[in-house]
Amino acid sequence: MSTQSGIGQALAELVGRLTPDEKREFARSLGWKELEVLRRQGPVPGLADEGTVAHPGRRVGEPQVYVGTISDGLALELPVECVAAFVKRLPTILSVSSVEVYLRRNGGGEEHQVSAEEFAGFLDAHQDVLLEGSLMMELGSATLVSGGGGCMRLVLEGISGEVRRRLATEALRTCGFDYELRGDSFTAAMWDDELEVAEH
Amino acid sequence: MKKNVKSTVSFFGLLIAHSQREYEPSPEHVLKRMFLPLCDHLTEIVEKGTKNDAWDVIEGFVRECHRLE
Repeated sequence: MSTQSGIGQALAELVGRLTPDEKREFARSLGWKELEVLRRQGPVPGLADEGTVAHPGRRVGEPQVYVGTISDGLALELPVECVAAFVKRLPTILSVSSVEVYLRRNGGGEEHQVSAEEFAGFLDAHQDVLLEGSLMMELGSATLVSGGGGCMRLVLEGISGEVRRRLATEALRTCGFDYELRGDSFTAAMWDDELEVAEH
Repeated sequence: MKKNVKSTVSFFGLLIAHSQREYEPSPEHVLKRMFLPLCDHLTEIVEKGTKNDAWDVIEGFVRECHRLE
């Protein structure tokens, strides 16, 4: 965030680059009153780094849990200890008999076709990639992509809103929340150990 | 569509999905969970893929971009 302290930091950096003579000249020409005026003026328009300016009222950083609708499915941020339990439930909820898995290891890709019966065992054997690597899973017309750390996107093209709500409810349940989502679009996010739900 | 191509496009979609959150994901999260996997995928496409793969990735990116409209 570009703040008064940001201006102070920029000034300190500027002064730090001056020679001793230039510093004396700087101190003579810019008194305390001028510095106070600068401080009150706040950020200089156009100098703020867009990437570091927080939108007022928006939280910054990752929630402990996040389950929300997106245009084509669900966005999820789950604690790593909940990830395997949730993913193992997907073939049943999506009613698929096999899963095609594409996972990345050491700069290369591996393709696996796994039956629904063997899926849980497969995930146990590949926990390293599931929890910290990157992978994509195709479950019928649904596609799950995970960047590790519980960060996932579940594309649900052609899949009903009811199944979408069921998946989201199941994601919350695996994280210890007994909350049934009912809206067509929703977000459920846990911040500071409290679940905040918005449904539309 | 080849798995590596679809996976590449999916990570781009994951990145877009983060831009629409109600909160601001940390730069570390965006780097580790999206950009690094995306770069890993793209590197393989450039080094071992075909021109068709590269084109399919770009078309996939554009499809994801259309979701923003």
